[in-house]
Amino acid sequence: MLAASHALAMPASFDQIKLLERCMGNGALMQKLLVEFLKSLPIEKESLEEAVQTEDWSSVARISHKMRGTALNMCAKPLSDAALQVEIVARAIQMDLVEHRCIELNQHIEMLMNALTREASKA
Amino acid sequence: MTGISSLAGSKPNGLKVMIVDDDPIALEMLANFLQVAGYNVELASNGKEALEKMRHYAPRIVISDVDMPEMNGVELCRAIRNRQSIQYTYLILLTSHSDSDSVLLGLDAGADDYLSKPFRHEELRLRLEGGRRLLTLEGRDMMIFSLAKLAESRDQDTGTHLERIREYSKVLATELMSWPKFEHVVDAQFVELIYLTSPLHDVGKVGIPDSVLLKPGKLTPDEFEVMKRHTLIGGETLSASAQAYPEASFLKMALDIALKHHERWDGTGYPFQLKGEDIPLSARIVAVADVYDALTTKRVYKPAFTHETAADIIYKSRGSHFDPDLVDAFAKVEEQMRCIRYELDECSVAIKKPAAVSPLPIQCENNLAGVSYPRCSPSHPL
Repeated sequence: MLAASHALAMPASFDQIKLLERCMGNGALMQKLLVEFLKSLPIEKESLEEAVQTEDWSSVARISHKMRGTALNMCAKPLSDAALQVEIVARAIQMDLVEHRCIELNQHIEMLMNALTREASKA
Repeated sequence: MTGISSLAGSKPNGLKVMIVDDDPIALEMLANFLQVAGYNVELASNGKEALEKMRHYAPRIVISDVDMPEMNGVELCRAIRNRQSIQYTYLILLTSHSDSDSVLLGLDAGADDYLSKPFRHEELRLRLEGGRRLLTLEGRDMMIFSLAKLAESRDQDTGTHLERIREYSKVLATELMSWPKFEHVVDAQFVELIYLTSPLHDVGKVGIPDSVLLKPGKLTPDEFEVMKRHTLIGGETLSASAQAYPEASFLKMALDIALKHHERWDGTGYPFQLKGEDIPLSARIVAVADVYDALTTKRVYKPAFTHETAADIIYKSRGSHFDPDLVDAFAKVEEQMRCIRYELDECSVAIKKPAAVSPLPIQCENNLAGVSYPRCSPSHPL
C-alpha cells in the first residue's frame, strides 16, 4: 500500500492525501485504483493519438473529456487541466492548437505515469 | 466534515442505488462511498446495460454519468421516465460537464438532480438525502392510502368513498385558507395533510365484526354501541404510531380525525362528547365531508340522496352537528363538492350532473320521503 508519508515527497502530479480521502480512507482501494489508472493511461494516450492523426475531432474531445474526468477523480489536477485544454480546442475544431495542446497533455501523462510507477515500486 | 463522520447520522438501510459510468475508476470510487454510507449498490457501464439490469435490480436511485457509449445519461433518463413503473426512480446526473446546457438537457430529460465531477462526499450525501426524503414521502403516501383501503375493503358499499372524502376535505380546507379567522391555522401544508390523512378516518372499522359492519338495515342499540367503537379502535392504533414518531405531524392529524370525526359541535357526538372548538379542526372538516358523502351515496342501510337534499341536511345541522364555519364554507364550495361527487361517481347511483359540467336533468332514482343520517351517527334511525 502507498504510505501517506510518501505524499509529501511526491511531485505535484497527483494529490495522494486527497485521493485517500476520496477513497474514504480505504488504502487498498486507493492502491487498486492507482494500478488501474496506471494501466489505462497508455491506452487512452494511444487512442487520443490515433484520433488526432485521423483528425477525428469528436473522438479527440470525447477521449480527452473522459481522461479529464478520471484525472479529477484521481486528484491528478495538472493532467485534468491539460485534458480540458485539449477538449476545448477539439470541440472548437481549432486544429492549429490541438497538436500543441496534445503535446502538453502527453507530457503530463508521462510525468504522472512516472510518479505512479515510482510509487508502485515503493509499495 | 469528512464523508465517514457525516454519514453516521444517515440510515439508508440498504436503499438500492445504481451507478452508471463508463469509467471504471469513477464507478469503484463512488461504489465505495455509497457502500460505506449503507446503500446497496449495483454498477453498469452505460445506459443500455443499466436498463437491462434495472429489470431485475429495481434501484430507487440512479446516479449516472452523462457521456457514455451505447446510451448516454440523458437518453437513460428519458428511457427511465418513459417506463411504466409503479415506483418513482430518483435520478442524479454526475458529469464533468459544468455548462448550463448540459444541466438543462439533463433536467429536461427527467433528472431530479445534477452534480459535477469530481463529486464531493458531503454534497453527494446531502443530495442523496434529498432523494431519500422524496422517496420516503412517496412511500408514506402510498402506505397511508393502502392502509385506509384495507380497512375500507371490508365495507362492501363504500367504493370510492375514500377518494371522495379526501377531495371534499381538501376543498373545504382550501376554502378556510382564505378566511382571516383561519389565517394562522390553515395553510398549504394543512391542506396537504388533511388530503393525506382524511382517508384514515374509518381505519378503526377493521375491528368491527362483520355482523355489525355488513348488516343491512338498521342497527340495534347494542350494535350501534359496537359500531361506535371504530373511532376508539382507530384512535388507539394511530396513537401508538403517533407516540413512536412524535415528529410525524401527519400521524397527529390522522389520530385527531380517526378518533373525533363523529364528535358534534353541540357536544352530542361520540366518543367523548367534545363540544365546539374542543373538537380538532381537521375532525370538524372530515365530519362534514363524511356526512355529505354518506348522504349522497347508496349504502346497505339507506338509498342515495340528491345533492340538494344532502346540502339541505347539512345546512339544517349548522351549529348542532356541524361547526357553523364549516357549514358556511360548505355553502361557498357547494358546487365543487357536487362536481367531485359527479367525477368520482361509483356508477351504482344515478345522480344529477352538476350544472358547471353539463345541465342534465335530475336522474336521482330515489324518491326520498324523509332524510336519515349516516349509519355511524347517533341520529341514525335505529
